[in-house]
Amino acid sequence: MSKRKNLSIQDIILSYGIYIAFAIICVVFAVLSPNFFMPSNIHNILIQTAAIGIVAIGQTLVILTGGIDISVGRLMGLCGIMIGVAATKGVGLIGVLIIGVLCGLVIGVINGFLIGYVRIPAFIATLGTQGCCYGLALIISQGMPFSSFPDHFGWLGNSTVGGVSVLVIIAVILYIGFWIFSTRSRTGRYIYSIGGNCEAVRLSGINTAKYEMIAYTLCGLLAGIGGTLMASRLEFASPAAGENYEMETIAAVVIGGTMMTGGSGSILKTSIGAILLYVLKNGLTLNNVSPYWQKIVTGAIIILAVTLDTMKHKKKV
Amino acid sequence: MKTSKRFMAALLAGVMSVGMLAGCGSSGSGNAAGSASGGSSSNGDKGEIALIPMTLDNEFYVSMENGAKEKCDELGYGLVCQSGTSHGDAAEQLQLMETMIQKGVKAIMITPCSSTGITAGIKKANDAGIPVIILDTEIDRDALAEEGAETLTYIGSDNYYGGQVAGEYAKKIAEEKGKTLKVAILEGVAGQENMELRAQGFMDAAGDSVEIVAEQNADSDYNKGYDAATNILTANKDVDFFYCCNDLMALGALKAAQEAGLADQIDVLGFDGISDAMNSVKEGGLVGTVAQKPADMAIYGVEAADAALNDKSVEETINTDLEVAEKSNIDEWIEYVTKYAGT
Repeated sequence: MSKRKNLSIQDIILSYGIYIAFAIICVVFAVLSPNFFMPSNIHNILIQTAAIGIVAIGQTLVILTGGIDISVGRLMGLCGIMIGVAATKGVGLIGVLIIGVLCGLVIGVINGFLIGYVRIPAFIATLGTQGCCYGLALIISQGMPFSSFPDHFGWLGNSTVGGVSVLVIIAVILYIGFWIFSTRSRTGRYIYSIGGNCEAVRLSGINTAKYEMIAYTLCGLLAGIGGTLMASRLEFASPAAGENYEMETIAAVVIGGTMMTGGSGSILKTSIGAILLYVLKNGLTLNNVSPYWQKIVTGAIIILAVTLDTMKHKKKV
Repeated sequence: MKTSKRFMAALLAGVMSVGMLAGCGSSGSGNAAGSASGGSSSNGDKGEIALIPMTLDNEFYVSMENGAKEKCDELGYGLVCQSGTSHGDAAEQLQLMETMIQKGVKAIMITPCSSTGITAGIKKANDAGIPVIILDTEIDRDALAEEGAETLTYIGSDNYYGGQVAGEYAKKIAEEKGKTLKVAILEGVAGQENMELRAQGFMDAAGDSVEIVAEQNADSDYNKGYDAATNILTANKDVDFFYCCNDLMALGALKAAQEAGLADQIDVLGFDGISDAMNSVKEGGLVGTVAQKPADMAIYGVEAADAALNDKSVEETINTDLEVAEKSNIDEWIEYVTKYAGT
């Protein structure tokens, strides 16, 4: 009996280790810095997390299929540039928002086609589209940033409704919506099962290419939304924007406990991963930790999270 | 047994990372970037001043930080220095500004990622009543005014004037050689205003004494400068002069010229005055570098912040010195650089 109890504590640590670490980190920050737990600071962290967090939803879907999308960072930048160009051509508020989101959707469809139907490995396909997005952003913008947008363009990124940032509200709605989609819909279940065992799913007569295509298309769409919101928040779009943001989304997904091999994980947990990343940035900065050291701390947290997951899964097997 | 070993490993990893976090959190030490701060230090009793350089992986910004630290210590402020990871990341700079505002710093000094990119952050600082001091990269004041935001002052060298200084220098060499110089220009990231002004100033001042045979963006990067210069030299073997809008690109171009066996024929002029460039000038590599004083920018910045916090007026624009550091004056410059770069 005592052995069994012992194991269950291990189970708890293995299953919830990253949340325990999250809690400890928050307590440490709160003790060291009185500003940390102030409502305005918490709100700040959530606002800062929102855009990357939204893109991380799409990254979760893709990683659940056993794939990866490294084009999303530069895609966010490209969406901003498309909006900037459209704005200078006199397109109105609704028009530029549609263009920004549509731009993400189109690249998502291309990614999905290349990976699902042409069967190019996801890393390579999205490495290619990543380069294309960056190049396109430079060509369209001629290297120049944009800072004039239609009136009220900044509203989405900078306003609050009932004291809560619109950005955060959008992110929460998307998280809940996509969580329900991924767990309740048939498409969602197929996305999980492709990552679990693609071959078996295909042999059972399901068109895996179609569902991979859906996952990458949604990922592109969400990157489009994220890129549009980022441009709105900054009221600024630069072709240099989005560099390495894909890595932040991947970090959020794995910290949240989704396996890189696919098939296991959760969109809601990704939100925890994303928030943890930005809690670290915020708390370390509030405590005057040098940016050099911040990289190491963030890296260590990612390794810790994945270590716990790997051990949990080994144990199951 | 095996599982419990793994369990211990996980626990250890957890404890270590949390410990590390607490460790750096409480002391805020470890290197140049962290040692400058530490809210509890006795120096910081007048409050903290934030410095947000574009990055901290470039000597120029490290000198800035050390200059700021020296002045903050002298005036009794604490310094908090944080930077983004990549040049041109507006989102990261906005995050840092928000966090600094939350932290309750007395003033924010920032090197903006672009002349229009951080308006949202400046507005937030304005709302919180925190003066914003712009270092090195001038802000587009029209765009700022349009948004109803304002900055305390801009401190930096006039980049257009710096370009002119470089142009005059090329003109002088052209006169000495008695011919029109064939010039290749390496610029920084396309669209970065400082870089364009440096190139524009050069062309305006050099005028007819030079013929521009090539112009490339090499993103202020050593490797890209090396590649771009190699390509240029493949096409134009008769280049007499490389004007590079920053020193790293200049050092890359110098390497390309040496490998092409053209180092004797080509003069390479850099911009910024980092210590590697200074040493290269001393050893006869680069012909010179248009040297700025990054530490002075931060020192004047802290002074301006102090003045504003004591309700004294501050000038809208403060220009810092700038001249060509060449063989004749290189020793004085090396002394300045060594003091602040701290390497």
